[in-house]
Amino acid sequence: MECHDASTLISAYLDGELTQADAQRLRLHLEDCRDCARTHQELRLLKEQMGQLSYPNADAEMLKLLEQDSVSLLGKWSGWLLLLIPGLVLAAYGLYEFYSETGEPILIKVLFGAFQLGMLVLFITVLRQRLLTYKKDKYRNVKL
Amino acid sequence: MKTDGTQIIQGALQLAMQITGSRDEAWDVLQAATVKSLEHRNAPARDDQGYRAWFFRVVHNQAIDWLRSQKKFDRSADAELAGESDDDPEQHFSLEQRKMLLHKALNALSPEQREIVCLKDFHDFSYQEIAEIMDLDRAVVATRLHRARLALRDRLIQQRFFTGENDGVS
Ligand SMILES: [Zn+2]
Repeated sequence: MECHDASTLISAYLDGELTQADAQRLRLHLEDCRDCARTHQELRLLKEQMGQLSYPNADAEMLKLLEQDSVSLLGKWSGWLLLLIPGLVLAAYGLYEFYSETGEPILIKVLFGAFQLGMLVLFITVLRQRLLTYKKDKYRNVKL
Repeated sequence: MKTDGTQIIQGALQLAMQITGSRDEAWDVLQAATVKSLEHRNAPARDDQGYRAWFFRVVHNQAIDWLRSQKKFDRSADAELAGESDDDPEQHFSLEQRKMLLHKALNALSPEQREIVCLKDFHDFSYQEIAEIMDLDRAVVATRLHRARLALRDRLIQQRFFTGENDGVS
């Protein structure tokens, strides 16, 4: 094994990501080559020390804030659903009642129909917008 | 590996700090990622084995967006998390001094190099998981990680990080 090939394998060797055969070939090279053996030692030490680095943790206060974010988001969604579903049902019911009623003047019926149509168009536009952003969402296809 | 929700959040916050180099920005990134992860329909369940890597991926994407918006993508981090700089001619460093040198050298790398080293050595993800988090091929992870470590090593050699350390190299 040449030094160049050996060198690129050292990291994967330290991380346990080499096949048995490659690991064995690298070990043989490390026994013979001072330079690569030194790189191996340095990177091993580096890896060790990296694992001991410390970073500030989030305190309880901050974690609570994050949770509130989640709750308010859930609230937003359930709020929409609570508004939307009964709204649609009521609208359908109203429409049915209204048109099966015979006493109302034609003009009122037309105006009411236009109003309901307007609401429907508005709803579909918003829905379409949401679907479009959903399609563009780059996290959508994350699979593990 | 068993990790509960709080540990995942803490780790994700640390990753965000490692990428952005700033505690405040890391917090913003984490908040945005949390919202993204909740709105996400294909999110794995929280107790799913893959949830940690999945959430880290969301944090990664959020942090990269932030770096792009700041045009900091190729720049090294600000010194905020670097600790005190201390040019000590003494060759035997204490543990604390070593940590400081390492923080400093790490912050001199590009955000991407810092991230890949941290994902492996600090967060202990496999190459396959890192490939998924950073959206790279596994082979690319191997070469970039090695290159990042060599860059880190070279900086630490300048700081005499390794000298005086007897590892029994024969
Ligand atoms: Zn060699």
